[in-house]
Amino acid sequence: MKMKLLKYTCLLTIVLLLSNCDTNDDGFYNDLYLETSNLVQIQTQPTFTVGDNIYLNADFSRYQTEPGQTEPLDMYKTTGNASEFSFSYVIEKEVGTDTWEVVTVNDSQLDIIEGDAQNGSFVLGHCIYDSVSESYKYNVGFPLLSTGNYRLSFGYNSTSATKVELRSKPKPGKLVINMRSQISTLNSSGYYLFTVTN
Amino acid sequence: MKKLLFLFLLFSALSQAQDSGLAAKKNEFRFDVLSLLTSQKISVSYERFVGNSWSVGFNTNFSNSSKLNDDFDNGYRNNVPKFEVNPYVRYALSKSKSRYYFAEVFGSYNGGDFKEIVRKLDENNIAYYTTLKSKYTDIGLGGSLGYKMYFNEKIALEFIVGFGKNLTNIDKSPDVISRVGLNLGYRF
Repeated sequence: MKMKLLKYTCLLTIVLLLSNCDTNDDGFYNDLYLETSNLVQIQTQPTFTVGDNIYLNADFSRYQTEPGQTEPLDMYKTTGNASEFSFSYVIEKEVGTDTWEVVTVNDSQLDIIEGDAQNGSFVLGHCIYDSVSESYKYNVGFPLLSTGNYRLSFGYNSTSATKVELRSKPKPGKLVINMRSQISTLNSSGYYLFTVTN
Repeated sequence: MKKLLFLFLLFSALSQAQDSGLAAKKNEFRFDVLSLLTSQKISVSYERFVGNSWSVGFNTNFSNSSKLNDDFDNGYRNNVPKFEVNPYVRYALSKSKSRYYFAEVFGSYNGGDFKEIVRKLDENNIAYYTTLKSKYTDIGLGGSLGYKMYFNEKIALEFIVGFGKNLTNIDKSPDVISRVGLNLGYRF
């Protein structure tokens, strides 16, 4: 009887210990998160006509202020000299009442003045580091090819509708900075609405 | 039928003979083959059989897994275990001494490398973040289940699966400690 009790006590102990197993050992431990504002601007216009481009641009220093800190943060040094920060945005056209369709163009139709960009189901923009000005730069125009109501948003890869997330290009063994930047030209739903006319 | 009865009696006699032979041997050393092959971990154990299905012992292991080290360097984990010393108390759940299931409770003193992100200032009073590596140690408690069999009254083959939790330094150490192995041993 005593032996049986011992057996069951041992088994119960093991089951209890196993059932409490959890781990904090996964995840990604090289990520840093910063809050900033207006790193990316939409070049708004009162009116757009067919054939115009809508431009987005960014020009931010490698040195950024951090909430709660007095010394500027060197992002270039922190990331092991990251050559770029990337972000994404989506341009959609209204095709019916409250029905929106993503607008896509070929990469060659983008007007790339500074930085780099690729277009698919969203535009992936790259703010490229300029060693002379010690800043990351992006200035790319998206062609507006037909009339209609459009909207631009950054929520595709962001955790907040009204913020854009910029992520430094990862380097092996180096830290990665994720910046969440408020964009003042977006409405409360996270859209910049505009109309293209003839 | 007579042949079957003879084989049964012979097997029983051999089994009892092996059991009585094993009972006289109180010590055992083991080496974990599985951990060496899969985790680049050297793991050795000692067990002392104290009678009445009870035994005590300790396991010690050292790890230098290139996969864990790469994951650690690339930020996929913030710690990497390097050593463990695991004393244990074990109870045989089967009556046979030559093939049996067992349960054990183990303690663990373990340690390794830990990495955290720290903010620093350079000579121009400009801030930057970098990773800082340090060592950790912790004490844990866990339980295991296993199966053991003997060949020629001295060669042991043992399979064990166990898990436990670190208790005192979990900000730096792994939450979970595991004891999974396929051990080859010698009993004397």
